Amino acid sequence: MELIPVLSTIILVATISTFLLAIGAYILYKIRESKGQQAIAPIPSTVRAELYTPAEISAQVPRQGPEIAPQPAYSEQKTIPSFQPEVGNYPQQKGHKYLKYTSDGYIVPSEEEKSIGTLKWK
Amino acid sequence: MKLNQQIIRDTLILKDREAHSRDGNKKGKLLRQILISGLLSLILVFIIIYTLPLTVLSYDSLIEYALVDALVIFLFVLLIRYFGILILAYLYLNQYTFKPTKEFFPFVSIIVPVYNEEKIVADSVKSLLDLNYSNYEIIIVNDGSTDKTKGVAEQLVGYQKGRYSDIKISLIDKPNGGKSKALNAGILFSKAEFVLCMDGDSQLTPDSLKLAVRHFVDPEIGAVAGNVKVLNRGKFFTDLQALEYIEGLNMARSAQSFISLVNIIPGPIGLFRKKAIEGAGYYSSDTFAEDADLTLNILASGWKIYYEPNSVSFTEAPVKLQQLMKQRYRWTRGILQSIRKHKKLLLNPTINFGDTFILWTMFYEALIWPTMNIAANLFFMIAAIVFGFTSLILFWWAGLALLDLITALYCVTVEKEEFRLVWYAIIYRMFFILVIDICKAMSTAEEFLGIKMSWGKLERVGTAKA
Repeated sequence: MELIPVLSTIILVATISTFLLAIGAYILYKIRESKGQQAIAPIPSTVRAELYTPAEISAQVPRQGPEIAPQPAYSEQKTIPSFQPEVGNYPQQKGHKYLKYTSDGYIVPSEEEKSIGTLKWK
Repeated sequence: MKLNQQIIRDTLILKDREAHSRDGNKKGKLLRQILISGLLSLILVFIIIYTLPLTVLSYDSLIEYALVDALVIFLFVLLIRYFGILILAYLYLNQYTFKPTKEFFPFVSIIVPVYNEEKIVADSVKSLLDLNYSNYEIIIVNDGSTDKTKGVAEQLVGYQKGRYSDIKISLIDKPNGGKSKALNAGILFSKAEFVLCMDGDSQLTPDSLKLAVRHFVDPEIGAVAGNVKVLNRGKFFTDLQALEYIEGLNMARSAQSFISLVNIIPGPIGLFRKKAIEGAGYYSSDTFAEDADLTLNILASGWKIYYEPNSVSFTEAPVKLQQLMKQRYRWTRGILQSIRKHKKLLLNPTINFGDTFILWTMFYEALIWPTMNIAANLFFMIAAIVFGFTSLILFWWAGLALLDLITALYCVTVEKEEFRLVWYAIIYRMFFILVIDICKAMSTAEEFLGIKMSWGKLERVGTAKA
């Protein structure tokens, strides 16, 4: 038996069945709809509604890190964590702007070292 | 998790803000349309009768030639449509992939209209609390539900723990007035510059808001359409719809987005600039496709609309054929009503060429395409039964199935979807699309005859769990 006539018959029967199914389902839908139809109510110009809303809280603080959390453009109340460099044991010595780091810790560079160019500040 | 806080109860007076079109003399208009179309048909018949003897054709072969010509035109239009959409969608995806994006995190109100959604409203809100965004609030609008939806929604009111911040959830409980009025109530209550409108039964993926909102950096963008996917898969009809959403709707939306003219912002996910909604006259309840109507109004106001494919919303699709018929009946009539509301733009391309183009594509999809598809199938059926050309229908099906299979493969790959959906393409056009097109044709006939219709509601089974 040849394949093409068999397949053609299958497709033909399937198409006819689909047609009948679609029309039948549509008619059935219309019958069901017509049973449950109600009169259309007029549209009022105003409607009373109830509102349930939480009282405003004073400050909203993001709980997690801001690495992927978006920062609000309007945020006045929220505290946005800002990057703070870690100071650790960094000595605060008056009169010396720059210190030299050695194996013994931070030391004040001598005038000689500065003049020979060991430390150059731009 | 809900935080301890005080809940304020208040009464709202909601004004009907939507722009109503003037009714006019509908019967007179219909009569005029029938008379004009009748007169034009008569002129056409006379032209055929008088010019046919001047040609080589006979009356017997006229129908035969006309059918063959119609079929060739149908095939030509089908291929142009397919390849046109595929090329534009490809160009859009290319543009989308390489387009530099800026970060933008404005305050957004998410409006969730609910009507008898007691089974799924909590899951919908839960999906919203998991959004990868910190600057938003949720406004649930209960549209006079008759089940326990109000009670469930009331339990959700307050500041709930979101992914990054505490999210404010409010509830507006109003008498039943339809989805458009519920959305309008939420939009009016919102203080945000941007509003995300969704369905009560939809669930958003965590990145959906963050990815959609960034397009508003462009001040010309009035709205962003999201990507809707079927959640309740695994059944014959829902799997076919899953393929339809990917192949039919999302691919077309990608193509439209290339020219920034998306014609329908889907109900399950649409992000709007509030100014654009206000300018468009809010959601309107005089059509049954309020999302299509609002989109056309926004486009007519001069705003651009973009599509964000990674802004995904999962929604429950109809499981039974009866429910599917109900949904498509409403969609078709709603789209035709929206087109009718904008017929000035449809007929006059000098006002806004982009809008005219979009309206004609909508008109083609809603009316011309289904008619052509049904006519082609009838032609092959008659050719097989009456004239014995049985093999023609097989070649016709094989050609279309191959085209659908390739398109489905492309779309499934682009969207990183389930591969098993590709196989549904074999029966997609001959079964699913034929059923849908018959429903569309019937709905179109009813719309032109002016038969009254009601909204109806799909019965949800509550499978929409994240």
